[in-house]
Amino acid sequence: MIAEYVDHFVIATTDVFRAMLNCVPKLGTPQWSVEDDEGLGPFHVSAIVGLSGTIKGTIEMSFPENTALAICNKLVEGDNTHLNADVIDALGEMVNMVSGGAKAKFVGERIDASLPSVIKGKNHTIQHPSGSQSVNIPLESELGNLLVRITINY
Amino acid sequence: MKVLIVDDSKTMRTIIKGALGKGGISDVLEAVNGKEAVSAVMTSDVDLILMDWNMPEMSGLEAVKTIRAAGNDSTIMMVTTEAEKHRIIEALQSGVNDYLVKPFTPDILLGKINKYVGKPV
Repeated sequence: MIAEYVDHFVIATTDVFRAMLNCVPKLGTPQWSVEDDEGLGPFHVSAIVGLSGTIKGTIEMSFPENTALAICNKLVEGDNTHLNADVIDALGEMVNMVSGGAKAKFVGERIDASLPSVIKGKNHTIQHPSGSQSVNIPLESELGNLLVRITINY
Repeated sequence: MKVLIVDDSKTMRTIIKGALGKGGISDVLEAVNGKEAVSAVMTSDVDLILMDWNMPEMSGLEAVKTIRAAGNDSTIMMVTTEAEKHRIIEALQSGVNDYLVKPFTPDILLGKINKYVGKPV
């Protein structure tokens, strides 16, 4: 079932990039996410929103440091050089906009989104409830690569 | 025109403030949640309020209801990721005048705001 939802999140991500960053990310091949305890490797920071209501789960956007900085600096015309509070805030707002756009595409569902949280740290992991299913969607953009992960709890 | 930007994200406040500046609007106040927004409206003469929905402490919708209950008729535009029809209806029924879904381009924001520039509110 989760495969049916992938498009909602890809379209929402593309909409956010186009409107706020004036660029369109290139979609890689979505893959099932297998191991929660497998670290996120080159992705140094992840922004997360929880979904509740008739569909439950999370949407995560994970970024290498360079991509995170490039996105934040383009959003606010800034010159941040490390993952400071302003960059963390910008990434939270990115996932907030993507989750908002995606949940509006679930026709007939009532979904609430949490306020965003951001985790940073080299090779950090994000654990999901047992019985959940995740899909990783790699994206490339002129601001760098990133990973969108959708997890649905059953 | 005095504009109050209400958003818990500094990034979004900066983006909106930048767009307003490009439109020649520099008289701007900022608030980080609904509670601060209510306080700002009660103590300043604000023409237009750009109100996020999901914020800690007090949501934008609660703030709208509080502001309207106090008899304040400033123009309020929700600027939010909440895009579902039932949310929009709920906001309009609570006293919101206009609605803009994030993400948006500066041109779209200014196009909406220009409807209110120079008009009595």
